[in-house]
Amino acid sequence: MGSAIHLYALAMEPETRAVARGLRRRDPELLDSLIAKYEYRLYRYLLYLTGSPDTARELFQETWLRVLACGHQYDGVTRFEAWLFSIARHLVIDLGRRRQMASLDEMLEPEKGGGAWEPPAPEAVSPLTQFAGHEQTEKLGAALAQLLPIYREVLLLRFQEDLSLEEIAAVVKAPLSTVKSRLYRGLNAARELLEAQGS
Amino acid sequence: MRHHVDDAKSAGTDNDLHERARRLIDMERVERLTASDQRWLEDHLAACERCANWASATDAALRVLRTTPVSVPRDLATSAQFVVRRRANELRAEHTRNVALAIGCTLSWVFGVASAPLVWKVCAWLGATFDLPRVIWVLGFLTWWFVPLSVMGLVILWQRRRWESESRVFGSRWEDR
Repeated sequence: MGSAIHLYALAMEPETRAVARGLRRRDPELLDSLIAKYEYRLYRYLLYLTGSPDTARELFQETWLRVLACGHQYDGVTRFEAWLFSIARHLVIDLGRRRQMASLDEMLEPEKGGGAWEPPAPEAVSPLTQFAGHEQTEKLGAALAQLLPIYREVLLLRFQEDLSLEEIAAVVKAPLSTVKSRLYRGLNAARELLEAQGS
Repeated sequence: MRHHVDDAKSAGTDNDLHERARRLIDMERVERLTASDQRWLEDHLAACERCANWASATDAALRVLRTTPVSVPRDLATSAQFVVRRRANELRAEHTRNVALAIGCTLSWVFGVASAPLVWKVCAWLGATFDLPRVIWVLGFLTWWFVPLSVMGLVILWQRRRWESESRVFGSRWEDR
């Protein structure tokens, strides 16, 4: 009877709580299932942010290593994907900073070799251009590439990941009003760019 | 003259209406509309082709954004699972080592406290036997007492340094790219 109640309680437990408990225990089965479940969405998010499949792939692994290391920080109240995306976003920012610092170092000491890291060209920024064969995809790729990253990011989180405004604010660490204004501006810019591509 | 002013006013009002409609079209997709705004927008879109087209264009853009496929590398999940499992094993082993270290330190501290009177006597006897100044054998006693603490400190420092160098190696992987 007791175990039946326990099983019932487990079944009734919100998924986020179960995830939080599993992360605290560093449950390998849970991590495997989370990696499989969020494979596509996390990779797509990283790909859109970084513009490079290789970097997105590396950051994908790094994100899960962070989830493993910092799993105890997940509260089990917010949606797991919002927490996951905020970790991924931090890693993208860290990478950007490191590359910026590296390129600055190389600029100051050019004899140390290696060309400075350059931001990818607009056509390379959009990973979507690689997935040719779909006219709209190409148009969107080109349009998204021209969007400012702050707009691109909130559009992706809102309309691809279906995060709520509050969740987006938590991911990008910005006030709700800022998120809204970025969304409106981003939507406007995306529409204008798509129209321009279409005409 | 009055006719011109009325025309301008009416054009201004018209523009305001379309402006409001477009604002509400975006708002409907980003957040939520109040029931009255929703009703007003529906009425306006039913009557205004230009704004209806605007709404369709917005929906088309969002549909493309939502449905654009991304090709995921075939072994993305499996390789991440492998790396995460390996790291989880390392963390587990590290945890076991830390627990063993903590138990060892606690035991040595307990033993040190329990044996302190005896060691004090031994040090005093050695001091008397070899005719050493008091300060020397007291220092010897303190050194003996602090040995476990020093060893523990050294082990922790070594572990931290190893962890830092591992992080640096990991970080440099990105910089090398």
